[in-house]
Amino acid sequence: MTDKTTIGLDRLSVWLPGSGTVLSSVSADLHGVCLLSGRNGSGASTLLRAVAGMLPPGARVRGEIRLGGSPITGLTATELAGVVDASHLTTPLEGDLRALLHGVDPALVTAFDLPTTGESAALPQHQRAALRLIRACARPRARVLLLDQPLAGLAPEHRPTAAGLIRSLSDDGTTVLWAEHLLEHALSGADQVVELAAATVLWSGPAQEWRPRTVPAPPAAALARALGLPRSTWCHPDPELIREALGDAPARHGRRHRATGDLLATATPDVSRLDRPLELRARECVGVVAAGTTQPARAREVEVARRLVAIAKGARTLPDPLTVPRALTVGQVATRWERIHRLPSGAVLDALGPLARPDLRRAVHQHSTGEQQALAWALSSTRPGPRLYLDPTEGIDPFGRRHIAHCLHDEPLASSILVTADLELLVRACHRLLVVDDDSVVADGAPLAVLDRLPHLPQLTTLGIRAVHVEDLVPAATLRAVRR
Amino acid sequence: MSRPDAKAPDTRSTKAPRFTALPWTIWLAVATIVVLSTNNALVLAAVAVGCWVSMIALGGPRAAVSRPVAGASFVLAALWALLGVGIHRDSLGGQVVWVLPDWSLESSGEFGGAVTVGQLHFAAARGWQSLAIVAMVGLLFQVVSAGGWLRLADVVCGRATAAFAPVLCLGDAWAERQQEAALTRRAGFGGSGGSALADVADRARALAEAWDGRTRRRPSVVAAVAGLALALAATLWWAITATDMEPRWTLSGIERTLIVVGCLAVVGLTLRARQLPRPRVDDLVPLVAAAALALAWFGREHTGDADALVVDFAQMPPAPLVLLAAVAVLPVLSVAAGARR
Repeated sequence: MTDKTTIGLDRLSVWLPGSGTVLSSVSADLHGVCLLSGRNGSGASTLLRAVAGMLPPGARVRGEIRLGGSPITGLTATELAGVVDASHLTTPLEGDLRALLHGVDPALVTAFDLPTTGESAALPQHQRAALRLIRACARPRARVLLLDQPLAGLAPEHRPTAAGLIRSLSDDGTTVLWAEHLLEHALSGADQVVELAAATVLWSGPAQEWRPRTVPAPPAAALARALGLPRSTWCHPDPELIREALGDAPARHGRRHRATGDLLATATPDVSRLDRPLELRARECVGVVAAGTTQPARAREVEVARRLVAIAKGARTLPDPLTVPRALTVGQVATRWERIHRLPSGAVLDALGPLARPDLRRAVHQHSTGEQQALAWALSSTRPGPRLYLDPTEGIDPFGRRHIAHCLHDEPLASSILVTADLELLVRACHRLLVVDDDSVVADGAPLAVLDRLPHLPQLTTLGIRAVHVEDLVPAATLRAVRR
Repeated sequence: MSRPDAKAPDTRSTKAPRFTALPWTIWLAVATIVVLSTNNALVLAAVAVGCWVSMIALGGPRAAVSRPVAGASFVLAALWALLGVGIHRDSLGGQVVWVLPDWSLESSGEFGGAVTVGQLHFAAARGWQSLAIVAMVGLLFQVVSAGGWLRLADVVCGRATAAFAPVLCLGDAWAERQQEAALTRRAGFGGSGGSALADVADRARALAEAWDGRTRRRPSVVAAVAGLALALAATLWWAITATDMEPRWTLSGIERTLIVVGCLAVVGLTLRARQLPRPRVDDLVPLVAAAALALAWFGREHTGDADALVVDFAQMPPAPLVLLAAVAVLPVLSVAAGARR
């Protein structure tokens, strides 16, 4: 059945200058909340742009896009509610908030903690992300909403609200195409999943029947699957059912412990500006988390992280966040980085390989946001000495997020200080979490030991399970059998 | 252990004055009338220098714009000056300063030959004029953000803004590139790399695409009909005055065109003025400067400046004192606004 908001793709192929074939003969009928999943560079963002009619100049399109059965070359302004693209968040949405929030449900403004007066340019990034999303959602007559990683820029506490909002739009008759890597929030709200790989559709069907091929399932879905629970509960995990299936068997946490290295430095209160001395060790990943959710608290966690890295390095100045020159080719960036830090040839590409396979001859900005972020990770993770990681998984697919957590936790080559809004990464990657409230350290310990002091909880903990990894709850042999 | 320095670049706050686009557009309109209507090198030089002083005094997050603007304006000025000197014009008169080898093309006039004082004045005026225009545009790119320009353009032109939106983002795009270049140099990469022009154009396109401040309120039907009528009347008036052999008003073509453009802008503003940001105290700088310049220009017959504005190139240009004082209002207020922070 084709209703007036169904988007039909008929052997759609897209060729982009400098990138080659990004989509190859894609055919699918998209309706409701359609979640586009896959590895970085699989073509989800290009698919959204093709539907919106916003491909860059020089793009070549073959095949057909239909809306409600009629062929289109792109959505008109009245059909399209908006394109919410996480890569746009660096651009301030300037204007008077009263004008920008015209027509927006006041309840949403309150739910996302947005001010109603003042200038939008003064808002922090997570509020700009919320503003973009709720403005796009405030167009009741629009038939289609396109979302490209809309949750990435949001504060963790607002992600469930955003997922609920997106779900409610579909209930009102809007078709939502939603490319998202934070599957733990997105999957439960999706009607349909399209998994893309190598420029084509690998799997397409109802969300309840989806079994990820190229990316790991979110923790709750993976646990439900490993416990042999009914398929319908994988997307909508039932805490009671899971707890019942788990029984009284205690979680096994000890085997994940890795001994950290020698003492690097002691951050004394006069230097760290915290209320207690902190020991920083080699090969230890320390996560810095603000106890509060206000903007000054978020800025404070970044400042503490930079200060700790400077102390661990014995440097006089705070380290700058890494900026990758976007006009250089990926190959040039890798070569220059290896030369600057006297790394063996190929070190950067070795670190990049598991996350993405960018074209070395193309400029950095010609790659997808995820591929650019993967390159930033590869550079940061090969830098000698203590390292600073600020949101290293933003825009990275679930497979890459898991790989980064593994690198930081299980194969740490240097001391790392991490600040992230990715809660799964935070608890999986860090040996130790430091919860700070302005100048005082509220908690300092292993992730499971300080869970109660965290402002936001990872997915398994929200189900009432005190564990970080599914492997800690389900025997490895069962997991292997399930995966086969 | 040494204390890490907390003053890293990304934690520094910029306390430059913040402006909205409309007051600067009004100033630009008045300044454009002055610059395009006079050939007095003193006035043109004063406008150019005034813009440069304002750019330096106001600074801000887009202060890096001044560098390419300086380069472009000096190249343009040199080109105009060379053309002014190189193309021989009998009508300019004055003493012969030196004689260049000459050649003439039947269809394109005479090049080289005797270079007169009048020709030198003409070349200087043309050079200063191009300098002043580029400096004015550069100043506007520096003081108002891309978002500010896009919002104004959206209010006035609506969806047609998309056609020229990247041009309005050039200032921010250049500043973004410079900021990134500084960071990448510090990281050891040695700059941004690639072609600067292509990179800035690409960034400007991306910024324009990412802007999402489009107004959603629709004007009422009455306002829309009234606006359309006003726009038609203004266009009709322009067409009639352009072809009228015995004009009722002594307005130059530039003045007439700018008045019509102003009317069309007023139509857009009338329909959607509520979408514009509220003016700030800092906006008094361009508004007062525009008012002073407009008074001096339109009152030139009474102040005695009129004779000094269109000059004979064979003589030294006289100084229109009132107009020069009005031109100086902008840099003086800019210095005051910059120093206040």
